[in-house]
Amino acid sequence: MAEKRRGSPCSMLSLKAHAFSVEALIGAEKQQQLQKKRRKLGAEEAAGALDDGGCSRGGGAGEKGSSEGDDGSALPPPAGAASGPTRSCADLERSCGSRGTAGGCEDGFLQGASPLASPGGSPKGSPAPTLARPGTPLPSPQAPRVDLQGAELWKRFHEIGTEMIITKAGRRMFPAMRVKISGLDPHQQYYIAMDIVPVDNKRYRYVYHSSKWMVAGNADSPVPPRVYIHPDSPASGETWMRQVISFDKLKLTNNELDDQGHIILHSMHKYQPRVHIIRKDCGDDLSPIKPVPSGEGVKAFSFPETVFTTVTAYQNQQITRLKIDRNPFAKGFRDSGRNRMGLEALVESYAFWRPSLRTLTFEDIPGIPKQGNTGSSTLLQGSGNGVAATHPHLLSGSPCSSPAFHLGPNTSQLCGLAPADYSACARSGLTLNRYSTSLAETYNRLTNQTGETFAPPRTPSYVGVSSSASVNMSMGGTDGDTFSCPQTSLSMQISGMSPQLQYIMPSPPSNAFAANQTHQGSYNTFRLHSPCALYGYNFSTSPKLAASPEKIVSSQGSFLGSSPSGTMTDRQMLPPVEGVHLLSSGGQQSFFDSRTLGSLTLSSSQVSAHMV
Amino acid sequence: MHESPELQQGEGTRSVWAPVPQYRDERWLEAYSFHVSADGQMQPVPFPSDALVGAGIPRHARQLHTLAHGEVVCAVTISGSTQHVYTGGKGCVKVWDVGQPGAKMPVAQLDCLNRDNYIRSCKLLPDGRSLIVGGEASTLSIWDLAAPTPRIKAELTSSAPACYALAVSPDAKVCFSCCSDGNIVVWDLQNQTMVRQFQGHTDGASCIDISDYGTRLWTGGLDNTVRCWDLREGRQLQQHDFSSQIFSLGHCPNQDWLAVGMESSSVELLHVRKPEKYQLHLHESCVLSLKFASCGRWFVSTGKDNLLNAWRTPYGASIFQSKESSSVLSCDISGNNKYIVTGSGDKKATVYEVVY
Repeated sequence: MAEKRRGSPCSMLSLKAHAFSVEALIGAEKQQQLQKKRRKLGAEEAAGALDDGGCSRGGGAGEKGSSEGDDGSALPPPAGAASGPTRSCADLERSCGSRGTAGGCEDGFLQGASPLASPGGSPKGSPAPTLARPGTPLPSPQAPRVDLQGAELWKRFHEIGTEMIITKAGRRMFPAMRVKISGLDPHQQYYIAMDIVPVDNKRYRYVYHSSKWMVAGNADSPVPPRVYIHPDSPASGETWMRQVISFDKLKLTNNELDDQGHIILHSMHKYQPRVHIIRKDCGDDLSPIKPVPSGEGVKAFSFPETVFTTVTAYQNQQITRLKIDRNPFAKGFRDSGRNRMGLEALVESYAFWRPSLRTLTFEDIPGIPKQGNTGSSTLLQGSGNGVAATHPHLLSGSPCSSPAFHLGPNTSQLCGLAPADYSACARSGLTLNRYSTSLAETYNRLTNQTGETFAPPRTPSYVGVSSSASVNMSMGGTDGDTFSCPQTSLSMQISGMSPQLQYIMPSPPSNAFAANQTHQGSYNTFRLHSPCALYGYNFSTSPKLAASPEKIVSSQGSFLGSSPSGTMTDRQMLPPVEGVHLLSSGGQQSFFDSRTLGSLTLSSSQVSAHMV
Repeated sequence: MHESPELQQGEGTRSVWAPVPQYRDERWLEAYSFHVSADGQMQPVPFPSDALVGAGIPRHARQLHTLAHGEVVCAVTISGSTQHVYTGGKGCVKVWDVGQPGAKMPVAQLDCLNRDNYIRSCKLLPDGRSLIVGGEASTLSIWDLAAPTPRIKAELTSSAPACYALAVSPDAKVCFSCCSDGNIVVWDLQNQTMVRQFQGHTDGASCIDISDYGTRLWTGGLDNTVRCWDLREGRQLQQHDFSSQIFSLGHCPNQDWLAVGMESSSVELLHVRKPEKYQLHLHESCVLSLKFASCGRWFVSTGKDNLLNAWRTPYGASIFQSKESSSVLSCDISGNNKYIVTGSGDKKATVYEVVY
């Protein structure tokens, strides 16, 4: 008998199933919430001035607001769609509430998000729709323009409330600021620098039970000014425009007496990173320990979605999860939450391909040592080698010989991962012991230890060209534009190839794909990249935390992608008051200054070599 | 205190530390395709040289028609002749003639359900003469399309309040209905009786596909599982557990890959016999539908992020993308792989021509 009563039968469905209702699938609730927000913000928007160029927003400021600009369901959607929009609204409120020296950039967020919504059009009007966020309100070809790379990831963090760890020694940011600049005079020399300025004069605290940031008083007294000058400075406009400019080496510290040139910030304060383009002739006053000079040869750009709150330990679990999830160097933590039941999950997951559904033992899993091994040695040294063999598409060769990873006596605080600096709370020492060996394995796998010197290109031409000899790449049209993904923030530039990587590169077909790009107008689709495509690199990043049985990870994919369940931020695992500490923030970078690779230790002078 | 660079204060000790080859991490962030091997190792995938070129691999798609259904189009299918498109919205399925250019009005309307209830799936029988429609009701309707005006031929009533997905066996003898209570109901189309129910999903079953041999059924559920059922033996063969709900899936017609679209925005391609898979990350929101081309070499996925993604089987090299104006809830590819149809939250359907 058919349903005769009015209203969909969805009300009879489980809560989970409601997430599958048509209303949820089209995000109807979220759209309504956003429209309310937009109306509310309209007034503030009008009041807030479009800042002097320090504030960046989409050129299409009048565009129809994006319904998915705050995709509350992006991560991690709790059961049902209802709480998604709530969160995004809370974020909006929060972000709009704090309007500080950045001058209304928060409001710009919504507006700025609208280019994301419009199909086929970036605010600049270029044929290739792009999700890179434009950085200037005046998209004229003459004016410099800065596009934020990885804007989608920033946005996802921003929706939750981005947090960045700061430590005494200095901690990198994740995500790192990466931008593409255009509109420079190709022949003019410029410095590119970054500073981080307070958003307001408040101090914050995170209220766990309501998952909200609240003002907790007035800001501490101002910190010493610090500027991070991009190591490639000074360079010609042409050089800068040719590459993605990454500030991944920038470190944040809470040590007001820092002498490493790191950027000094107060904890539990809100900050806005800014990118500065400084013409060389105006750069006499430019110094890492003085405020950025001002003048007509200096232009500042900021992106509202890169606002973050400094913490010494992550407060919001969702931030933790997203950091782990998206920071490839945090992969080792991804399955930690499940590892308590790892074996059962593994059995379930792999049972299907076992001829008989017997219980998996550790012998079944290559490379996993027996239970009880506390694994501070190179347990899985060989495991990296086996990875590529299984699939023809993967790179072969390049053995990953894992270094020994010894935990020092200070296991209460785990080693910072070189690429991802993890710290751990001393109070949760007991819990952390369970992870200590897993981190060991993570390190083993994260580092591709061939011992070869890796020399990333010193020239800024990062696109498709590597100074590493053995890479055979002929990426026709190495112009960054060819590879920019119009609809996502994924920049396709490949920078700094490792010598041991091998790339399968076709000679690019002549014009088929270049033609694609130029015919955006007539086609409604676009290509992410040419057939030269995208390459990963073959360091093994197994999430398998194998030393102790509870670390056995079942199928990787089960845990990737935002999930509200079963990650290591399970509060049963860690003292809730401290949040989660086993996390990276500046995760993407090698600990070493790339210029000194090949030597396994760095003197501090080398570390800071690029700073000044 | 002495602070050597690799031993930062408070961060413990390390012994040997060797450089990570790629300190500049864009590629991880840029990498959207990862291969996960049997032992759980995950690596970004370097695409082979024939990833995006070659016979049968599209270059683009361009929009041909917009079909203004007037309601959110949750279900869409294109006839084998590529002459007609069927769009399922609220209460009814509309039939469109897409064989010719020009503005489109429906040529027929099939009223299947209450006007407030959404059609969730519509599938043509292989001969193209019948259409099975399921949605937010306990009844599936079978329509005779060969009649002068389409009319209901039969109704199949189950105990579940809603049907989320349908599949028809290649021999047209049997159809499968994914129910909101988790059951998979198997219907004998000739006798119009229920043959059996596959029980196992602990929450709604959201998607279904039949393996090429017609002997296995794959279903995905809101209970975060993908299950494989043996049609001859009538039992569950495999189960894959995920950390997110499954919203869509499809079995590659001629290769051993199963594509799974998840609420978490990942698309995963599971090998059906080996414990390896690909994970693809080009959606920013739930993956609402997906479909393989009949040649199996590429497939499309659609998302709540308004994206239509075309991917290369199995490693997921991105062939093209199309950004629509709203969530894309449904899709279909014509049997000759020339047309893609999508159903949108903007109350319309779009017909794309695939350009090779």
